[in-house]
Amino acid sequence: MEDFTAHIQTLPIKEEDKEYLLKRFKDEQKKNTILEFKFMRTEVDKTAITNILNASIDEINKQKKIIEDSKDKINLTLTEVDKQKKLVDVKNTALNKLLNDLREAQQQLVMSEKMASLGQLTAGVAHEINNPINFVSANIKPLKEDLLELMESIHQYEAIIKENKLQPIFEKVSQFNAKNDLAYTMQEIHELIKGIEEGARRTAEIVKGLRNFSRMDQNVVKKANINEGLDATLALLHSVYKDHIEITKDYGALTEVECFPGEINQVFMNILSNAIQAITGRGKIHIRTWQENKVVKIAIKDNGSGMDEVTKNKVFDPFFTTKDVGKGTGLGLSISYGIIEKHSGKIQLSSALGKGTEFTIQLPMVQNKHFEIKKDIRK
Amino acid sequence: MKAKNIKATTIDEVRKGFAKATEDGYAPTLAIIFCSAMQDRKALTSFFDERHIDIFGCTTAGEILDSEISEQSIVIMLMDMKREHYKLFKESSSDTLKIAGNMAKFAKESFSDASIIVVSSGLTIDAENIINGVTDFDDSIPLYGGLAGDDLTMKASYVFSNAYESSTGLLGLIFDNDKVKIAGLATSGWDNIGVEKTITKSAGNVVYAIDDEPALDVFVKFFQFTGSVYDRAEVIAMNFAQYPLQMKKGNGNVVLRAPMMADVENHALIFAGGIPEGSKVKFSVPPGFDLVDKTRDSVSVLKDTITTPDAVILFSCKARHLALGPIMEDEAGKIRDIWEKPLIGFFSYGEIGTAKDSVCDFHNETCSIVLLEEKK
Repeated sequence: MEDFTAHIQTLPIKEEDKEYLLKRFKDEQKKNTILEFKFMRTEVDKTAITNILNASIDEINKQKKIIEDSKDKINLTLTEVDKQKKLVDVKNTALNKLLNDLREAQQQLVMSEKMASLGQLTAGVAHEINNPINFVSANIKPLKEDLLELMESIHQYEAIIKENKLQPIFEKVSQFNAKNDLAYTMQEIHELIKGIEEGARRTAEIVKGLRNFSRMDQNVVKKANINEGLDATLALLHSVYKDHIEITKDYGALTEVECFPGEINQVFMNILSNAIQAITGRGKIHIRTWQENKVVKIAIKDNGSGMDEVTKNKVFDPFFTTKDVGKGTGLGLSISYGIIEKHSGKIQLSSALGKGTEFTIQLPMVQNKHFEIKKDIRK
Repeated sequence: MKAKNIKATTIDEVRKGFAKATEDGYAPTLAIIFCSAMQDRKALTSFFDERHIDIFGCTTAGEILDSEISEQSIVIMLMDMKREHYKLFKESSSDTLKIAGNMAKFAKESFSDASIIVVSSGLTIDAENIINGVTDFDDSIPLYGGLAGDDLTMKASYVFSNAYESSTGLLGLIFDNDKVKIAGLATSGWDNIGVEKTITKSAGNVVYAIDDEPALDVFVKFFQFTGSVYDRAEVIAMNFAQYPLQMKKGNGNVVLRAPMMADVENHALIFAGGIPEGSKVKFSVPPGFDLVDKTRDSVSVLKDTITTPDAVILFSCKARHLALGPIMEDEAGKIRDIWEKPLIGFFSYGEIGTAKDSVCDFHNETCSIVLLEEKK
């Protein structure tokens, strides 16, 4: 470079031209220096950046591998978590069912306690009425005989008076008898005695019904006549249905069924009550019993309002009710379902909206040997 | 205030330049002197002492005067600022934190509202302690400055003033803000690259391990392009300083930390500022050659604060010089052209200033600019 500068000085040109050339040379030299520097810097940076980026790529690949390795573990963990979740779901469902069962059992216990109290009360009332009505029933026959004897005696008196023409002597008596219409009185006495007799008979029937319904022996498996249980239940409900519902019965000859009679009566009470309530105007309830292959079947059919599909599907669910708030607990049929199931029986229903409902109950005549144990557990 | 610049390579040239500057009766009170550590500082200080001129000086890794850059030279800015408008603080100690606190105390005792321009010597000091020392005392004091250089010999750098020279001390030029308007900005341009790394072992500004790998080995692997692996300190500084670590600090500031020296025995690197253990860092690479325009555009915002400064002072990182070489002259020229006022500066081993949307911090790879205007 210095050679070139010296060379310019030797050129046979004006001084100002030499200065111009030297300045241009210096400028170009500077540009060249900058270009050289840029080239070197670019080369160095290229290497540095390549090194850093390669290392970064290695690092990223390393991290990627770690992530990929972890992925399997994560997937395994996720599968395990999923499995555990499913297990928890299953357990949760089981726990919910258990909770529902417990609720139902609790409600059944409550209802059983209520029914037991009602049974005790009913049995007590039946017992208290039974004694005095026995007096009435027992005294009617001798009273009737005594009255017949008295009337016979009066007739004989009247015949003697007539035969001996003693009317004038008994004029006053005749007048009294005529005035009080003795003939009618005597006729009326017959009617009155008949009425008392009928009243006593019906009272005795009711007492029998009450006793049948209450069945103080309900916590013990007993052989019970289902037809009698139905009648006892109807007797209790008589006042509710007598004015607008006609009850028809088609009872078959039934073998006695091993059961807790009180609980079975409770089922009849629930179904018959619902049937009565489903009939708003005049209506009919038909009760049929029969037996097939050691199974007693009871069908209770009404021509009331019937149920839609939704109601039919939920009718045995606890706390489901179509009644107004406070009018029904929604437990009656749920409890009935539980009772029949406990007896290894079946309860089914068919219903059509506006046409009526029919409940069919099947009860085995003989219970298996664990039945009482189950009962004990429930208690 | 009027500022006049002198450029020299010997004390004789200083004499000549001073004579020329004062031939019109100009009477400077303060001389800012940035010179190569190879220059005769004793002769320099004696020259100005004799003329009762206060000296604010330090050694450099290259000098800047107006639009020219040079090496192994002397650059001087003379100022005729009223002496009551500024004070000089001088204290030498290896306890940087303590003397920085003393400087802040001195500044507040001197002026109720003060600003500080500080130069510091010491190649291995943790310069963050300068910031911490001042802000611990009073974080409202504006602080600017740079770390003295030593022509990249990495032997010793100095600050000097009248009857004062230190290789482990501070020199502060403290201004009364009521009398002198001062404004500054630090700007970098370095871009981060690669994946995030963790400083797994460090103590102060010595980093022992990056991602559990010896720090020196990491830098050697990436940036040692010539010579033996464990070369001389200046080679390490030249090669590595251009590729600083970018670190996000707890206060949200993002700072660059350039390696200054190698501790070959421990495979460690000594950085120009502290990097706490556990810090997340990324490598960064020098900007493109359009940096000078970016720097000019960045610092131009200061025009809104001071329209007509009396003087412009630059603290520019030596790594910028290494990365941009002859292009750095353009940077100085373009900054000078913004205000067309006397400009002095030097290539430093670290800069103190406030980056945009940030608070005052210690930086590397930045250009920290300070504008001065003595109020009429």
